[in-house]
Amino acid sequence: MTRLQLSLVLVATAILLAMPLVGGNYVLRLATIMLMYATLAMAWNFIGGFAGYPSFGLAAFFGLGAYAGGVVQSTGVSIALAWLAAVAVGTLFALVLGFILLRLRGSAFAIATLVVTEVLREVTNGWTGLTGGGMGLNLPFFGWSPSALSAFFFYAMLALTAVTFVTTFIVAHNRLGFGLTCIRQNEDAANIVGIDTTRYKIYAFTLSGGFAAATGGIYASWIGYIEPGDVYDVLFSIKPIVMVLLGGMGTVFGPIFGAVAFLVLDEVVWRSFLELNTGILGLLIVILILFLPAGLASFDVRSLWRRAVTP
Amino acid sequence: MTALLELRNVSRSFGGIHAIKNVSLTIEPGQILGLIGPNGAGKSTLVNVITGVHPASSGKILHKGDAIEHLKPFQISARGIARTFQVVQPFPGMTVVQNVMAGAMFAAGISSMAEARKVAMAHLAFTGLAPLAERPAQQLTLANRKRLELAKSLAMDPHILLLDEVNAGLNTTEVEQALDLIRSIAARGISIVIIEHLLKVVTGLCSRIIVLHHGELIADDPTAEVMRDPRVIEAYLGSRFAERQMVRP
Repeated sequence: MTRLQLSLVLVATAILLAMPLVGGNYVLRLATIMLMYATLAMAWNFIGGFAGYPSFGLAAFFGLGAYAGGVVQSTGVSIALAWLAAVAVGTLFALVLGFILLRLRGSAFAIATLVVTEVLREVTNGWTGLTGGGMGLNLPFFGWSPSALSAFFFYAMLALTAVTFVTTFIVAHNRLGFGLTCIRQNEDAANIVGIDTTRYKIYAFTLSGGFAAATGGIYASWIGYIEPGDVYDVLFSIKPIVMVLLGGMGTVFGPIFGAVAFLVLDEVVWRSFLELNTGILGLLIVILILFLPAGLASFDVRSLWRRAVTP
Repeated sequence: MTALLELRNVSRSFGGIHAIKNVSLTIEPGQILGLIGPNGAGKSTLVNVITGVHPASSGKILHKGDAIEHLKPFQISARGIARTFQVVQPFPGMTVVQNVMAGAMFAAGISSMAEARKVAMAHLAFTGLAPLAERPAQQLTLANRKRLELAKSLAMDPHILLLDEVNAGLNTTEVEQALDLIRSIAARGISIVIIEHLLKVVTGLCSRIIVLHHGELIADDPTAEVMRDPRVIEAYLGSRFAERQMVRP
């Protein structure tokens, strides 16, 4: 990490840690959403960014984590145990699924992951005895004050974001990240230089699924009520992809910057164009991605400055 | 003594097409072996079969006495069998040195990235690419991409190197430079199998030549004998030319 990056991380951490002291519940809620999407974007980045495998199935793991955590929490055990269950179920499912799906490449893989989300949603819908089906699942209420609750879930999400970030950083500076980048660049060549490509892709997919499921678990406890249409929403698959594209694929900071940029853009556009907001947001993102193929990471501030000041 | 690499009755078919039929051969340590044959004779397929890219349909492949015909490409490269591709296969968006590091980190098993970088730089210096180390691989000229393939393969720390037409598309000067490089690789004690179209290259480098024709091994002899072999001349130049050659001496 360069000195600039390190100071950025420290400043951001300090601001985030102090947030519940200064911000109200509304600000905390926005910040929690931002952290959640940053984590989801980082989760997608493992398989989609590093390995270059276009997974459209993040919502499957998010939803699975939400339901695994929700169901366990409903039995009355501690919330930490529920979240652990969410991580365990999501990781295990990703491991098994990766073993099957990662034999596919390109669009076949993308479609397969998309279908998995639909299948899980239908299973959740149908399994009324366990999940409450279409009626949704109500999670036990804590009985805390609203401000205590929002601070608690803010810190929980922040902790998860931090763990995901540290994992991303370690992966990026390790054999795993290097090997995954090789796979993204040229999978056949990667195999020939001695990379066990299938195993590496499964690692990436499992990390992706595990972190998405953890996010889902915290989300379920935070919101207090989940239903299949909400947590298996395809937008939980799509938005993180757009965020990573925006921030820079396979980079350490890209997903976080992308998530923040996306949500800020979303908010601004929504305020200015109440009726056409999604259309305009989509257009803006298409333009950004077209002109900045490596995401916001391709912005070279120094060279822009040089070009601006030279006559 | 067990051979370094031994093929026993190896065949490979794609649907109804027999790309390789019953090929048996051995590769001894420190040899430069030429593999020639007309277009479509199965030369590249043979390399693909040895390296596990297209597993053999039948037959045995022994490396230092162990059967390896069922292994995956990454396992075979970890055993010290490296190859280059006829159509070069770089990691286009990565820098030249990162390309070479990949070979050092995975096939050669160097776990420290700093160490792998050091090794990679040494191989770049050896292949003359050191000044281009920080360039993206996609910016290299064809001749340099071929060198990059060589550097990457060498970083895998192989004892057998299979070179699939490393000289194709190069001009005369570049071919000469590539040949010097191949000779110095052989001087390190690495066995080399070189697939080549230019006979001048093969005769200049190899002490022994094997000839494939329609997927079958039609000759496996010292270079001088192969060049006189009527079957080889026929395969390359047609039967009428072969007859004339036979009458003359």
